[in-house]
Amino acid sequence: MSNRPSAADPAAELLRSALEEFEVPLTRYAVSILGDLERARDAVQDTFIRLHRQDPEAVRAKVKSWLFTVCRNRCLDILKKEKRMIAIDEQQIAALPEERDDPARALRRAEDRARVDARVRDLMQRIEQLPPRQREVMRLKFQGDLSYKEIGEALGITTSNVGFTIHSAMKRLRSMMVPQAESAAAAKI
Amino acid sequence: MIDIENDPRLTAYVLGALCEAERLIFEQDLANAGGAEGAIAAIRDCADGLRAAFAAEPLYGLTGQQRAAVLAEAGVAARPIVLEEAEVVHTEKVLPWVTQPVISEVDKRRIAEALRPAPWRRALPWVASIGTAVAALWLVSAIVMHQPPVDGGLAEGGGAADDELPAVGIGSFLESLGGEDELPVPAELAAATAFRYGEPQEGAEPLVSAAGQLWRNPSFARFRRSALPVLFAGKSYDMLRHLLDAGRLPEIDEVRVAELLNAYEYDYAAPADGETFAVASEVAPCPWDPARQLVKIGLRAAGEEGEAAVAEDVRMAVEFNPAAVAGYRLIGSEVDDGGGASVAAEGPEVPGGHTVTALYEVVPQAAGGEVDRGGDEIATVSVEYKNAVSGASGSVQATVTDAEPSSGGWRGASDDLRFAASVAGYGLLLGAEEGEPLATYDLVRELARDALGDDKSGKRKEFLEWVEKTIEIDRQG
Repeated sequence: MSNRPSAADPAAELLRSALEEFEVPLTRYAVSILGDLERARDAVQDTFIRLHRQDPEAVRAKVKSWLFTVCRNRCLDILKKEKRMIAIDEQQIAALPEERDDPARALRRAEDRARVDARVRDLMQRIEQLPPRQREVMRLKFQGDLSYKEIGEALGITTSNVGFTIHSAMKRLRSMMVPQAESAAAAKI
Repeated sequence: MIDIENDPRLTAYVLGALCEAERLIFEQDLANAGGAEGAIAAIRDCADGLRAAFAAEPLYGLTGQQRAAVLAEAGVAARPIVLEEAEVVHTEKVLPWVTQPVISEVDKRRIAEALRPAPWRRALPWVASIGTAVAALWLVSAIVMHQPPVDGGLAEGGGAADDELPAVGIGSFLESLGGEDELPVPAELAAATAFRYGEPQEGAEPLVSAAGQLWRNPSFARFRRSALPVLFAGKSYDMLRHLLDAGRLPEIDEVRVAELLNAYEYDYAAPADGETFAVASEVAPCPWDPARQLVKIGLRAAGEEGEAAVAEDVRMAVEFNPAAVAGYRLIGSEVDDGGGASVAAEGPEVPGGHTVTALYEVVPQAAGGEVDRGGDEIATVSVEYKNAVSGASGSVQATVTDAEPSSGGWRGASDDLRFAASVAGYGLLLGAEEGEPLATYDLVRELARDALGDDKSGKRKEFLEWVEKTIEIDRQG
């Protein structure tokens, strides 16, 4: 007699597949909100444990946006709990990682950049110059691979707002890129 | 003429985010506008670059221990997940039920150096953070349950023995709190509202003895209210499953009765619209001693499970009515205090749909004879909280009333109460905690057998299997 759920246990199966697929993107997302890995991990662990308490049938179809929503809320809870924030100001929260930056992390980011090619490195720097809300939406779209609808659900904004934000952010990134591209072209000549 | 480059649909179109109808309309607009090819190529290029940029971020993930804890929650054996950059190696079994994958030393150092340390965090598993929040409340219950087992003859004799035993327990307990003036119940909670059942009696004994056991006396100021934890770590349930699978019974401290009790679902009505919490209670004759009563208290938060953080700083307490209750005690002992709890700790946050279950044994004032006090108010449950969004304070009060005794004794109680009594009886019977066994295995089985209810998750049925397995292991010695 074994009490261990078999592979047929839908809740356990959902948890396992969600963990394999979303552990890294969720942790990256949590780090981007909280600014450090340890607390990000706590938030992500808590998120997965909460997932297992859901009715698998009810949550399966929207598991991605559910995970990002709950993870985000856990992160905001952690920030609130630390009493670093008196009111929840989205802009401030999204800006926190930068405010709390320190030399070790800046160094790490520089090291990360050194590993990748110049074009990506350049884009990473430009992403960091975006306003916090745009940055968060871009991360959910291009790292988390969430649909417009899923992003809207996670952030509590409308799908058309998501579309507008992504469009504006991409325009902004491209506009930042153009002068550099032109100057590079000029240098070649 | 449509300004196609400033139309958010352009980006949505390139990213495949338009639905079929939107796409057809937009393609028409594109054809009419013309000349958007360059913009489309630029957006596509930018999107590829963004994916590459985000993909180049470090492969952050959970620690092996955290991942194992998540999987243990689902009863799934841990298996290492290999991250591209992090070499995953097996070490010795750190936790009894999982193999622990760890990130290599090089990687650990790399990550540790790169990230800002958070000094306020203790190097404890996540359960400790929940444990810490509720530990203050649990300390209250710790005192009675940590009493050494009382010799029946001595206790019934009254006098010196009765006086001395509580004095030892309370003295050391208060010492641990740092002074005799400290209240075991969180001070804010104790002071927040006046006592419903009159002022406590001066000079009342803290503990009373009945049926060879000690009980908290609600006439005594510090025991008028009993503070309840509102969050539980789920590890006892997982641990017990693991142990039984391995053919073992738990050692002391491996399984907590209160955690086990709260690992099961009970049928509590959701709060009325606009309310944050609903309190449910039930009183029934105690299955293992007809001279006592069992009081089951349930709390359910508004909303559906998994909904965000509904209230925070949640504290729950039960005030017992000394006119009806001679003595009481909470079944189950304290949870891990995480090494640093204080009575002033903030209450925890409670997510949507969260439920809490507590069981008290109560000795009615008319102890010794037939219990016949139908309609009496036994206790009041109060819950205080702050709204998670507005931060406004709120509170809920509900009275616990002794229903007319049903003719069937405990058999007339609800499925939920009988099942909870079975779990509590079983937990104490396991000897996993200090505390006198209350029930026999036969009684535990009888209590649970007809109390499965809906059992959507199948956990109650599984519990019955556990009981059988336990009996088997016990028999083999």
